[in-house]
Amino acid sequence: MASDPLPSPSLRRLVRAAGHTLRSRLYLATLAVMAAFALLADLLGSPYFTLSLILASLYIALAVAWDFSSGLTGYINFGLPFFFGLGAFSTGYLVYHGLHSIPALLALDFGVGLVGGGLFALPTLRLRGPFFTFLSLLLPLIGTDIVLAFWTTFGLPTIGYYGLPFLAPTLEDSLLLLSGANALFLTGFYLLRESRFGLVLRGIRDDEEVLESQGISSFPYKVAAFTLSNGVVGFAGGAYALTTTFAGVDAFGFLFLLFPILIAILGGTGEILGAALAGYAVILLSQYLYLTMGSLTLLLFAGAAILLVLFLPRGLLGLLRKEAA
Amino acid sequence: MVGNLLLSSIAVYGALFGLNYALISLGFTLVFGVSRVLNLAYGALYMVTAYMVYLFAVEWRWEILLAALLAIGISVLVGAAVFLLFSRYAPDPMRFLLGTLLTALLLQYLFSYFFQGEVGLVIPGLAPTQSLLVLGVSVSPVFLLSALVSLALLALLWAWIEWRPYGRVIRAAAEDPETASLFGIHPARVYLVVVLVSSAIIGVAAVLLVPAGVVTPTMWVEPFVIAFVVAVVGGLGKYQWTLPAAFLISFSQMAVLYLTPYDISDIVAFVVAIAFIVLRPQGMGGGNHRGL
Amino acid sequence: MSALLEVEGVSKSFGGNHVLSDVSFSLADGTLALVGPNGAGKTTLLNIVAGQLSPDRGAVRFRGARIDRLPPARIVHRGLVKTYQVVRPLRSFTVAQHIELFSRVRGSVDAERILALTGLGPVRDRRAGELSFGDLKRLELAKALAVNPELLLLDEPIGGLSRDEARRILGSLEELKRDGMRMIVVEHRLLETLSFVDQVVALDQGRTIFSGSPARFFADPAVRAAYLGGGHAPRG
Ligand SMILES: Nc1ncnc2c1ncn2[C@@H]1O[C@H](COP(=O)(O)OP(=O)(O)OP(=O)(O)O)[C@@H](O)[C@H]1O
Ligand SMILES: [Mg+2]
Repeated sequence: MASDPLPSPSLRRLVRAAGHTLRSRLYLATLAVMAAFALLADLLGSPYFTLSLILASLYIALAVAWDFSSGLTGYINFGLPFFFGLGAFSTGYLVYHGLHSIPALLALDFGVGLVGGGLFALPTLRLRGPFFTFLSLLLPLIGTDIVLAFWTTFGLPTIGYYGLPFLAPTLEDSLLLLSGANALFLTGFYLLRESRFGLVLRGIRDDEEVLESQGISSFPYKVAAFTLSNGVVGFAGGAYALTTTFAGVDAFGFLFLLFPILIAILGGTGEILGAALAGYAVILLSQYLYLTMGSLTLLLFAGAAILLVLFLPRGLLGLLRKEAA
Repeated sequence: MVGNLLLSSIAVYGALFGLNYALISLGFTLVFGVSRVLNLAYGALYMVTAYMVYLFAVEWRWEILLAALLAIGISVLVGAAVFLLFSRYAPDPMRFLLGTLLTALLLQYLFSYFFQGEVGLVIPGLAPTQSLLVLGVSVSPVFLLSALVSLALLALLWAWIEWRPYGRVIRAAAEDPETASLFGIHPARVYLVVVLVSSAIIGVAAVLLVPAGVVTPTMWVEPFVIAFVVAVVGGLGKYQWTLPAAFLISFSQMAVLYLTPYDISDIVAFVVAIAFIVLRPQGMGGGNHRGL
Repeated sequence: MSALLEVEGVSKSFGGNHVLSDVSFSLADGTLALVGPNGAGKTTLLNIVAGQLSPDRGAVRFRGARIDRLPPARIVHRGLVKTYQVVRPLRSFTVAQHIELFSRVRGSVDAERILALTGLGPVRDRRAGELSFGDLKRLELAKALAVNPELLLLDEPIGGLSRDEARRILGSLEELKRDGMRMIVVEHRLLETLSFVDQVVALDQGRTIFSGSPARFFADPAVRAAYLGGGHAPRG
């Protein structure tokens, strides 16, 4: 028998389980779709299409991250735009202070999201779901105020950082980079979802008290999930700043909450993979509609999100699953 | 002498802002106290009222008083519709939160679409425009009038809930809806009544306060943040603590504004709220029990 | 040897309503039935032992150590777990996932053995939301067994079940007892329960009115007064 590179049996079991999870057809199909879009953008060479796909990739990162923490646990996080803006602003700050390496910037944005997310999660996740959700809304509401106060207090000249470096030399390369990062996030979150960690998160959504009464303290799991999720959000914020080469208060906008939530619910709450697929559909459609009807698009999508919450809270994939069962 | 003016500024503006904050937050806290739902579309009603006043009084040139009353009426209708829709079809607290926040966004996009985007619009007010001197401090009559109305509404609401027979019904439905329904009270109906009252209050706040500012599609955020912070500081649902909480915030803000070089009122409010969340999550009112 | 579980002078009231007054008992080994009329305070007592409520006065010791100020999850780690009187599954979880989730709380357990013992094998891949009431009652037991407990608190494990269904669960409990599992069972169905326990504690209006062997239970005057004199008839 060939010698096993993994000495510990529990590690070996873990790797085998991960391998099994990743052979899921839906997972492979999702990766294939991501690759196909990146390839298609390369072939078409249309800037608007590629830019739309870049936007879709950013929203997918947000949606998947949101779905992992909020979709699985049921603790809805409205703080998304705040950590997104935080990532964008930290990129600007770092560039202005001499850091120009794109990988280092993105890694630090991830770190900023992690730390910020963790700091917010620690006191608030002790509260029950609705109160956590309510408090999380405060962050994006005051994000702009904080930045404005920061600027006026320290007498900086303009509101925002201009002239940031591009994520990659061409739009197609940017898309490739973001698709690669998304594949990584998706794989990570999907593996976690299918692991015992994910099982605990799902248990929190079903009945947190039962977990407690059966020996599982949910708190550390929730904190870990939200911290990790906000790391990805920080990364996406940084990538957004490096795509637009500008970090301004628009990064705190509610669009970065509305679309991720719409996408995550449409893809089936807590399904992770569904969010990636729904992301392309929603963002490409919205980009197309925007060309013809302008800001009416937003009205349409907000309405669609409300209808989903009212009548299809488990989303399309959730519905399909129910029908199949 | 300068010290005196500073102190009277803190006192006068602290009191005025506190009363206005109370006016803005009262309805939000009241609805939560009675029906235990957090209505995130609350701030949007302020915006609805403001746009309706603009439509009636500016575009259609109606008499301002008539426009204001009608706008408040519409705020009440929208508030009731939102409450009924989500408590019927998305009753679990999380979906209710999500749905009402999305409603606020929908209204934002709606007004942005129909009223020339982000441009700030101006509406006429009910108060005269000539500034007054109070304790040597110059004060806009707009804020003075709204502060007086706030005081009157706080007193009226308190008297209604504590002394009137229907107040007992409200308190019973707030405390224990199941038991209340055994005594022939319909909690759902009581909730609706309270939602109507609270939507009217926020409508009144908009009619009185917006003339001092501008009408924009994102204007729902500001009153909502105020209601939010006051609710957290006072203790969610403790409507009696609205005014003390509002004063705590407004006086802290004015103290920082006048005694330090920083103009960071929003941050001060936020810090006060965070301090309460971390150190005293039950708020000034204390207690975690249901009911008013 | 000190007892496995000691409940010492526990009192609890809810807003002036004295639900438990100075209740004491101990369990060294074997099985104990906790009985009493509706509203006697049995569920409240189990909740206190499991850490879901804290007593106003008194102490709860497990293996000699105080547990009455510990959070429920920590108490489970010590080896004590409680089922719910009203079944409380994780609705989106399958039967097997319930066992998988909780099986790593205190060292691994044999999932197959739990499925076999509770008779849930045939529905192992069904979601809790789709199970029959009888299966949900069995799941309540399986879920508790998944944490590999040393002492099992069962709140009406056969409450609401038909005679046949009840017999299936009692069969499981008897098998567990043979394997050496220690249990405290709250039940209204006295005949079925008392036939397999070693010790009985009876509560009435929050007070201990009887503590002794099942054989002496029915002859005890205080028990007769509580069940017959008070207008309550034993159910089941
Ligand atoms: N959280 C609570 N708040 C107020 N009263 C309570 C609470 N929990 C229980 N009670 C009261 O305490 C008394 C005992 O309740 P408990 O559920 O412990 O009785 P029980 O013996 O388990 O009854 P049953 O056989 O019906 O299950 C009842 O009168 C009940 O109404
Ligand atoms: Mg009971």
